[in-house]
Amino acid sequence: MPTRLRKVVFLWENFGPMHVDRLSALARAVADQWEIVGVQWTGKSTTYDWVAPDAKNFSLVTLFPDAAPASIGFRRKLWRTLSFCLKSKADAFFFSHYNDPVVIITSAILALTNKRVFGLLLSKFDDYDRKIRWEVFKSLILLPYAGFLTNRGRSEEYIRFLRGNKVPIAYGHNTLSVGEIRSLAGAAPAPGGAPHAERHFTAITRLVPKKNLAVLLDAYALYRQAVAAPRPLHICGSGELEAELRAKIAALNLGDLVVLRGFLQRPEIAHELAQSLALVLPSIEEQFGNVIIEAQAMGVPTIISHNCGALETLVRSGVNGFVVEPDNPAGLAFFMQWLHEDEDLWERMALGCAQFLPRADTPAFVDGVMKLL
Amino acid sequence: MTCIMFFWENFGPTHVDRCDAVARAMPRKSIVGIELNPASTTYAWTPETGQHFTKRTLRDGKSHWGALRTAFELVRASVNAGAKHVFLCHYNEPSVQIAAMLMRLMRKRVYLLLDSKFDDRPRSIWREALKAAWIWPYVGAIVGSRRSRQYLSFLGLSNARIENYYDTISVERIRRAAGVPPAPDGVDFHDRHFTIVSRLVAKKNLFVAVDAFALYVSRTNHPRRLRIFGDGGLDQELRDHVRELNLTEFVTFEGFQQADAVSQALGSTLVLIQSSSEEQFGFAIVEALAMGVPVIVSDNCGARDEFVRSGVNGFVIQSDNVEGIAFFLGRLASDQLLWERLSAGTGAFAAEADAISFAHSVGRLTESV
Repeated sequence: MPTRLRKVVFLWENFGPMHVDRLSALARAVADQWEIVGVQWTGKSTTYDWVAPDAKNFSLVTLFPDAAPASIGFRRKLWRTLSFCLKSKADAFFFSHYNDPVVIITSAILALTNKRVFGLLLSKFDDYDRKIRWEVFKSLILLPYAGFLTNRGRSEEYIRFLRGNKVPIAYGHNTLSVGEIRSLAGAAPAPGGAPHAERHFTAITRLVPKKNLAVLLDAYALYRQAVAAPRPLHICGSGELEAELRAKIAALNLGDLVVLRGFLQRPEIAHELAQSLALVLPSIEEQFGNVIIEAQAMGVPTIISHNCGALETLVRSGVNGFVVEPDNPAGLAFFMQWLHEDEDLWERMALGCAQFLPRADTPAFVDGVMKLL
Repeated sequence: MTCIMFFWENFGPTHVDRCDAVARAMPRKSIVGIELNPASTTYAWTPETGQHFTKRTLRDGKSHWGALRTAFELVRASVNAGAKHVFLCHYNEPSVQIAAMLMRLMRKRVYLLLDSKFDDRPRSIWREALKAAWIWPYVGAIVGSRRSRQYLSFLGLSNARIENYYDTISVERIRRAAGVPPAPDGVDFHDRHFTIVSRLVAKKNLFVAVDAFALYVSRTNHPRRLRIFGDGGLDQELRDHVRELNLTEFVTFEGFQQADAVSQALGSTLVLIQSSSEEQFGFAIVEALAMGVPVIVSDNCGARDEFVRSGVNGFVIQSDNVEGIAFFLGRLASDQLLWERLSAGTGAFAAEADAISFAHSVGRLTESV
């Protein structure tokens, strides 16, 4: 007689490609023990224009299939989320968005009914200017969680600050399918594939203030002055600052070298990275920076700000990229020039990308989830 | 004449630098420095007395006082001096806390001198909540780094009442003691050595620095020397480690040296290495910058926030990154143009790290009342 599979539910606001990667990998790895259910509030993200692939090996439920993300009232959202979770008869739940009122109430009720609820949390203390009163409140709303899936370094320290040293913690929150990226790119990761001389700089980011793109353009302008034949800079993403950035590009006379490519779906991102010399991400605030995983999957060194949460997991300055301060356009330009001029250095950094990449591949997510379960 | 009082456990060279700078910048104010002990419990530096301010030592070094007695003597010193503004270090000491509360009740303006950061050590929300209550006597603060400011603001002090540049030095003193011009002038590029100035204790992460140096040595035909200045509990273990790595001919342990000798060593230094896993600030970093010396520092160092920009006046690395430190050592040791460029990049940061910046911060806090 077949034994009943245990059920685990994962909640994200909306499933993008990386969420599908994670649950597909998990479902494949534990098919004989666990039934994996993904639940999203809407079919469209409030933040990203991504198109997610179909769920493979797991079921994906959309609670408000026809609603726009901003149109769902609190009571409706709470009722449907809570009733779904209670009716699901799941053995465990993994919730993102710990600070959403619906998640706060749902996690508390589930915990009171003896369900195991785990947090998917990637915040860091240094993301914002924090205030002790709000942090005390936050430590209370995190009480229902039996453990957390997070990332190494600052995110782990932040959870331990809020919940103490004894709370179970596992790594692998920010992961995606490295194999999928490589397959979509249709080219070998660097230093294979496109030759050094033909590669350009790439930024893949939303065009919003915290991504610090004005400093990126200032750095690029310095780089352009420093080298004889500057490589183009491709900025991939959409957002509220697009007009402002276009104006700055024109003011710096960079129109022939900086290309705004708009929001790209995952296959186009993979193609873009296959042609990239380095990924540049000088964010002022960056909880992780998933694009760093995608770049390293394609052997592309990264020049990132120390604000990026991916730093501890993936990046070591002088090994597989460089770390700069977000107010340091001169330093950013300096490292761009280094990678532009020194092919041996670039090859060495490209090879260095493989060193920590397994920490951000989907098997790490599977390991982390199973450690908590 | 308005009196401004500063309190530290003991006055070393940098404390004197700062009090002297305040006294010079504010000649119409009376500046008083109060130290608890005639010698530091942490550093072997020679006690210093400034030229432009009055210093007083509370204890004779033999007697042991409890927190209440220390607090009482500290308050009494502030009353005797007629201090209206009091800047206190060591806020976590009960004696300092009691003194701060009493002074505040006496309507003195009490300020915090702080270079702690949230990321210095694992924190607990409940302990931090207590700390938020603990800092109520303070009406303002001077902090060592942006992270210190963020930490204090998190604890509840208004951002508008927090000033920068707590950890600053007299650039002129360093340069005078060095006896040579700052880099890239002075000692020839080829004759310079790597330097570590640090207590030999676990949080300074010196085994990683030595391992990185070993990696650098393995990749070059003519390695430069590494001179380690400082003393501490790990002295013998580090010497053993150096011996095991066959580095004894390249690494010298100089022991604790007074400020002038360190300045002289910085005068012939190629790069200062500070790879600490915990470092509230890192005074050696600003001393190196004063001598035009580029730095390789870990991102744990508070000094990084204001005074180091990677690729401009040094390189910032991660404290577990042996390979990265070795990479940057190799580059700076072999590329004179790069070294000269980074050395030239230290100038603006050295000016900012001068004790006059501290004096201006004191002025902004005390004159805004």
